[in-house]
Amino acid sequence: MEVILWMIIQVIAIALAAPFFDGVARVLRARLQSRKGPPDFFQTYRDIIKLYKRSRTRPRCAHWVFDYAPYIMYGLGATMLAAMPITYNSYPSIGVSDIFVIIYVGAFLRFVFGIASIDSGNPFAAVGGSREQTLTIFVEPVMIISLIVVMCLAGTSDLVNIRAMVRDGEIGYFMPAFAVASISFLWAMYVESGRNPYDLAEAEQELQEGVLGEYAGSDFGITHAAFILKQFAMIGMFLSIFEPWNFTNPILALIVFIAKAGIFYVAAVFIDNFGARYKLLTSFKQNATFALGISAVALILYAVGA
Amino acid sequence: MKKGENFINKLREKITIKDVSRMPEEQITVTVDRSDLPEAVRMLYYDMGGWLVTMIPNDERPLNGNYAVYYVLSMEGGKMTADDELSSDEKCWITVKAYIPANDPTYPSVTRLVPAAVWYEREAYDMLGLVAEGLPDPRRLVVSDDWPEGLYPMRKDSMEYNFRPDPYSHEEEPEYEFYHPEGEGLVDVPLGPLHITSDEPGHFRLYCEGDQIIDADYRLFYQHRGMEKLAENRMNYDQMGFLAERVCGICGYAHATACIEAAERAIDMEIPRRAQALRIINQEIERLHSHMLNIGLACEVTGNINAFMHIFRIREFSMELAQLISGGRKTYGNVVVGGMRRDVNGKEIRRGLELLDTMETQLKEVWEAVMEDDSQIERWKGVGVLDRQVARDFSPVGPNVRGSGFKRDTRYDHPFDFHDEIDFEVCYEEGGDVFARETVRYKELLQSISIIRQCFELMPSGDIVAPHNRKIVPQAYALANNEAPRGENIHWIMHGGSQKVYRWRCRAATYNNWPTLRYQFRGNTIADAALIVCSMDPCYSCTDRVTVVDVKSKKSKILTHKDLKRYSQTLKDSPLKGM
Repeated sequence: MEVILWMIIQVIAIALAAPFFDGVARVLRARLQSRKGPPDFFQTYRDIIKLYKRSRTRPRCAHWVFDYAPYIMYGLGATMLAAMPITYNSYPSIGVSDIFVIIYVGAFLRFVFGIASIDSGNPFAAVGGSREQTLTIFVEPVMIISLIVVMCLAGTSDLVNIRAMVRDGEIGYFMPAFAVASISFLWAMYVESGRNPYDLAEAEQELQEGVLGEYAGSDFGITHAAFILKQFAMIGMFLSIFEPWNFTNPILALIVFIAKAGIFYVAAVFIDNFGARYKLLTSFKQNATFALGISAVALILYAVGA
Repeated sequence: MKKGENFINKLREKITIKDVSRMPEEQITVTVDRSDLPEAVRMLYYDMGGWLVTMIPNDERPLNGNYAVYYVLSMEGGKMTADDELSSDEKCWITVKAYIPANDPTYPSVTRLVPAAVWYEREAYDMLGLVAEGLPDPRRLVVSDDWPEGLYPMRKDSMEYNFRPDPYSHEEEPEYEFYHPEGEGLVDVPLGPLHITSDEPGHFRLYCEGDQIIDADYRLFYQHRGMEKLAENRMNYDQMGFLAERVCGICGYAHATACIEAAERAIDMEIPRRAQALRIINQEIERLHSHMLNIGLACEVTGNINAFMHIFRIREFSMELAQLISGGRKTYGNVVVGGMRRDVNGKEIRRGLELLDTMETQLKEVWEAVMEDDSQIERWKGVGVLDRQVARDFSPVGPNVRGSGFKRDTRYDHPFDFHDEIDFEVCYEEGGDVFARETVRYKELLQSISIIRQCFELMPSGDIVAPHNRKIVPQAYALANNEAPRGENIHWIMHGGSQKVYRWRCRAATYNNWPTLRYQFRGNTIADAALIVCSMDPCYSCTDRVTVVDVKSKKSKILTHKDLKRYSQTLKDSPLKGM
């Protein structure tokens, strides 16, 4: 019961803190682009609040999928965060914090995004949504293989247990397979968090925005917040497995986690700010093949018992 | 032998020429019978190395009881190979003119032989009701889909300038017939007229198989402003320059200059050298900010916001330069018949030179950074290729044609104003893709900086306005050319009585560039569609539509209205089949 309470607390805390780091990232990005940018670090809060106050606009041809998708996506993002053993890592596992649960909740979020795009009736949104699905085909294998290595090493798919084993040194970077898997997982995490050059889920000129091009007002605000949550969840997953050192006191652990995830979130600006977006079937494919190669190396290393 | 005599002699071998006249010395008008029109234009275009620059349909019934069409060709050589080019003393303008009787307003279509004429002939029908017999694409071009049948706005007697037909209700508005290919699993992706991708009104239909664009069609002219009619009715020459500036929000100065210079050339008026140099400077400033805008946008549509922002930071210097030289960030309001309205002083020139230095250094830095970015180059290379033969057939202009390896620049082919004293290189690149076009633009930026510098250094002293001592000669006509950022702008003016223009034909650069876009789209992915449109640097205020010409088999097919209607209803047995 206490675990569930902590889950709720950590989701609320992260949901409240995440826009701050988005604001920091935006200020930093503006500086790198030699423009003035937002006046302070709180612009994302103001944006979401402003958007939330506005009424909804929906295409006449859309159905309930389109109407509820922002809330479903927000809920799924929150679920992913709740499943991260951040505050309750010293409690015995209740089986929710499972790698498979998190991955499939993430996949479900992507699925909802895709069908909402198609439901909007805008062909451009549909193409953007289907691009999002295609992306999965390239990212999922890398992520799964990296995690399989970890799960095989640990002998379990429960994050709480894996975390404890890494922290206690039963498995860890002294194992080459684990170290290599962390590299390929880092790539997958970056792609999943939807950043340039792989994807920039903002209303953009190309196709990438998918259904975001059709949402307005409160829907757009919620979807925007949902994507920030999802990014934090992806970073959280990396931190839980590959960088699990943290306090056992739930409050302290939460603060440290938010700080660590925030640093990752903001640091990604140094990657996503430069260069052009990749094309799915050319540059992206090459990139994904390379990452897949790294994850395969991890798997081979595990198989040969190194 | 006079300039252009050799072309006329060659024409005489096959065609009866009724009359030859020279308005300005290097602009020759050849009058032929309307039945000889297609062959005459074809011979000049393909056999003698001409490019179609504009076509002017004109209502001359008050003068001689006929309509007239003027096909203007720039004789400069085909330029398909390096030595396929005329020497500079042979280059000239040849206008093929044909009268069309008022009681039978038809003429054989030139488009069947010279595809480049397609839009002009569409427009001639919309505006004057002149029917090009055998035109492969008989859809409307300029007027809206709900425009009443039988009302032709450019006819002198057709309408009051303030007459407007009653608008259709939204439900009854006729649909525009888009051409589309057939096949299983083709998705029709509409883009525009209102879309986040493009902030200007143009409607594109992309026919895609999966991610790939198989074919495209588009409808433009959503905002036709009827400027040519407005000028004929209400404007005097002092006002016309200001109207012409409003053709475009970016390259307005080039339009104003071309318009006013056409009026000046028609009465053979020489303007002071200092005014000429100032006009060149302003045009080059316009090129600076326009090219930087385009390179920036070409980065931005691929997600490279960082490069976009830095290029825009540099662009600000060019706006400051514009303010210094012309008095406003937009170079508007400076050109008048006979010269300029605003002079520059030595202090401004010194500051201008400083700005040019800053701009040059910073531009080189940013371009180097963009070139080092492989992901950016990869997005540009091999995308939106403009085939050389397509380019030759459709007479595109500006960086669009120079990106395909053609050495076509009106400043070089037909130097005007102060250009005879200035050294500059025509920048062209092989490849025909977005990368080539952007590289051309970058090189032109450096050339522009050098041209402005030379103008500052060679700046002649003296007046900036010629004394008013010339009479406007009614029915005298001439064309003026200049190189706007997007390519060659051509304005053609026929003077009328009482200080007013009889006919003003404005042909903006993009008008010649749109028709090739369809070929540039094919085979690319939808994600690149916005980039391809962007790299063409379109100016929506100019332009519509595409003809059915298969480049490979060189076949073109005539579609009757019936065919098209049936096809658009049943979508079976495409009339384009077998091409």
